[in-house]
Amino acid sequence: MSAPILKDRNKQVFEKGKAAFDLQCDRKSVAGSVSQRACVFCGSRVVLYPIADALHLVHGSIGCASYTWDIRGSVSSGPELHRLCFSTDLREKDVVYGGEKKLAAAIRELVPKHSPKAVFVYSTCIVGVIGDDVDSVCKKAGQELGIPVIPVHSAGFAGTKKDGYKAACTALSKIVGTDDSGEVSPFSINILGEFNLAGEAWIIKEYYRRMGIEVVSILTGDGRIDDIRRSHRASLNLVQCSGSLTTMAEEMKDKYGIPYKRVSYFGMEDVSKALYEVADFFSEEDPMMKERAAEIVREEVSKYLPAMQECKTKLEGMKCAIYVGGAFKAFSLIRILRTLGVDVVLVGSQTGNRQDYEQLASMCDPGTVIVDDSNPMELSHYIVEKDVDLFIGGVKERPMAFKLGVGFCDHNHERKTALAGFEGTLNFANEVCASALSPVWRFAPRRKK
Amino acid sequence: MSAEVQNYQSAGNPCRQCMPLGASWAFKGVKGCIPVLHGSQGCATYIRRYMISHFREPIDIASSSFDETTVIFGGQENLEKAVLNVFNQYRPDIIGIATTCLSETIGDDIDRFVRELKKNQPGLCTLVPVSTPSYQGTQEEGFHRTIYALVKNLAGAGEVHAGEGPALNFFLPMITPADIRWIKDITKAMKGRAVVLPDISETLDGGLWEEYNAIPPGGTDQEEIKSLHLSEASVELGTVLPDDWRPGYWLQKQHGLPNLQAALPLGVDATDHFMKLLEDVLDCPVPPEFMEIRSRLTDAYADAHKYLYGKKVVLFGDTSTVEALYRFTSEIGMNPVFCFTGSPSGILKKAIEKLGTPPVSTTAPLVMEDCDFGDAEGIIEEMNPDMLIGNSKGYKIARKLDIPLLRVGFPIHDRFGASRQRMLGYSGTLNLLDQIVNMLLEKKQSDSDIGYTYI
Repeated sequence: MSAPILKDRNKQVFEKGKAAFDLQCDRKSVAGSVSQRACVFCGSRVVLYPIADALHLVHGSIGCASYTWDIRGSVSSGPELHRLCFSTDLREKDVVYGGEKKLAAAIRELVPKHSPKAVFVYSTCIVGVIGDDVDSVCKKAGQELGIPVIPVHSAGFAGTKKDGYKAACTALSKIVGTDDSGEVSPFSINILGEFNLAGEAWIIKEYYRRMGIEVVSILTGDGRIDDIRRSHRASLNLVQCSGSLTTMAEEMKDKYGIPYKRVSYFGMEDVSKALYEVADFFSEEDPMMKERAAEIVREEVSKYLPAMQECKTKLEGMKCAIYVGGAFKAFSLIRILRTLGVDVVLVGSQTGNRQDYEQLASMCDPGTVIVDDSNPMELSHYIVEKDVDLFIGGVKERPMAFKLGVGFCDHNHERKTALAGFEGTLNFANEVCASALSPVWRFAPRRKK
Repeated sequence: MSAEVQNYQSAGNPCRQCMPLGASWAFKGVKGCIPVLHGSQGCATYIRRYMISHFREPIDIASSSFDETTVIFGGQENLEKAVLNVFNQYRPDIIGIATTCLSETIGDDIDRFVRELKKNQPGLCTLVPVSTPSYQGTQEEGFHRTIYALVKNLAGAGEVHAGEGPALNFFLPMITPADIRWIKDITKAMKGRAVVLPDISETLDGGLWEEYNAIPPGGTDQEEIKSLHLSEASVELGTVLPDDWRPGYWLQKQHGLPNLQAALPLGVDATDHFMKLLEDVLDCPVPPEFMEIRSRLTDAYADAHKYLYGKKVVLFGDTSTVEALYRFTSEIGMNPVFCFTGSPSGILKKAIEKLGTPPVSTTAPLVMEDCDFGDAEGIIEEMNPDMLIGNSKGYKIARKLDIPLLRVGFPIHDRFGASRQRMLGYSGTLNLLDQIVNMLLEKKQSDSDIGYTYI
């Protein structure tokens, strides 16, 4: 008999109601557990990837570059350099003699050809081991070429995906604050941890524009180096994907005195809150902003709510499992699903921290299973045990759900449908309906009963 | 600066993946097998995602999950832990262990680790190690090396051959589950039994499940691998590989088993040749229903020839697919002007050279190895071909230059049904021919101002 939960992972699985809250997290993945996480490189690559006018050069063997080529659904309104794939393509000889010369040659070859505003050089596993001095190669190339050439220390083994987020923040902090020119509105914000998947950043930006707010930069969706340079001059930072960019927000708070708020743009409740919170922040200088926010909320909610309610009548009583990268997104998903009448019976994330899981536990109903850094054996076990109708996750979880006749909604970074904002909430509800209510499930053996 | 570094060009939009992907693919075609990649967690997860997006099936690949201390002290302990955890959680029949660039760079001796593991943990399942450093070769080499390792580790141990009829060992390139099914069907129809290694026909293209299967059903049984030396012969299809990638060659050397080599049966000539090979080795005539398909295929060649004559086509992907496509497109009167692969093995150049210039052309095609889409784009623009045939990653060029792209090979991330794509045998050839012709017709129709409803 196969075992659904490894002994080493017993404490990373918690069922609410059985005992007092206790869940281990922030651990490296257990060897052999088929974690759904990738590595440090992945963490930095996903954060920096959407910066569209930078050249992203992967220093290492070819695979790391191949597997991340055009992987995210992050779209750009202008340059699309981020959608190309560059690698130093290290070979056996380089492993013996070092890859510094190749790296220097690659930067010199690519910069004149593509005219990027900056270069990010991602060090992968073997680079650290063979002892390349990536920092000095980047420094020298930057001086020579007159653009920032920024090393991203992302050797896959050097921690977890979360350490990759930190490495990305370290890289970003070398750009933030390097341009003091031009005017910035006193009513200005940065949005951190919004990656413009399927154009979601544009939807959100439009709400703030209607409120009278200038969005100085988005880290990093539809990102531009010049915007990031002057992002230190905004009055407020909003952090969406808190797992990835809270470090950056903290740093900007310390260094530039910019306060930050955690927000979410998933679900009408959370989007409304994200708009009101900003209006509150600026209420002294602009007391009317709140009214403008309320107007947007009224207008948008009335536009999309009737269709949402229609979805609810179809989905009411269904049971759902959620497994996503960051835990903060799970909070929003639980709220949206509740408004749709769907019960969440399993929820988990790749990178949540203790505080996140405590909050999840407090939000969930008794009997809900909470998992950290889970794997296919655990997830499939609970799909069956909890008799789940719907799974919300990423591409790696999709076939597992389908094999068992369970509906699936992709809420990962490959999605091509906007799920943020008011209209995104309805898109999400429609996606859920389209899968959970499909007539094909009657052919699934597990669903026949 | 050395001349080598001066001439060095970085890779832009690569037309290849790394060896551990090929290793994972091969292990996924063995019954009850879970691959473990010995390296960082990311390798396993990225490769899973990449393959799941193509096959749309659950693909579990474990990792020994290196951290900083592993890199300093070596990966033996992590590998042991990974193997034990996989064994306890999945209860596999085999665990396939493939290295990565990281574990190779720090000098882990995977063979020794596995030897010691077997000694210390006698109750474990079969373990098969293979060295697949990602800084060498491509996914193809990783795939072939893994099959070789499976055969070398297991074949020869069996004493009886399970199953009915004379068995043929099939060693194939990375072809689709549907084409593997065709190989099995035709062999069966000729009273033989195909032992395909690896057999992904069910593991990576299966049905819906009553209960969750920790390991998808299907795959080559290890008992069959142990008895490969008792088969009638080995059949290697595809380009001719270096000897140390060829399990058929090993079986011949070690066990005196006949090793037959032939092209992938795509096109009439190549399929005729393959059918003749089967007739000879199985001593059974090709059943009439297959010959009926042949006659429909040659009839379709006649119906299609004018649409195809002299049409310039660019072929790319892994070496065996490109070679097969070159032979086929030449046979139907197209002009394959440019063939490229990300593989630096030297195999494709040799293979195309041997096939010679296409009948409709007076000049030899351009063949480039170790070539990425960045290198190919300018050349394709200059050649202005009528069509591209290759994997999904060619789409950027196809879109930019407005050239139709027929998706064949791996990866196919932007179309449906990659596992069911057929191109082998008379029936598969017919399927590919229809697709090529229709794509050309569609282009002609949509480019025209007139809006023809008859073409």
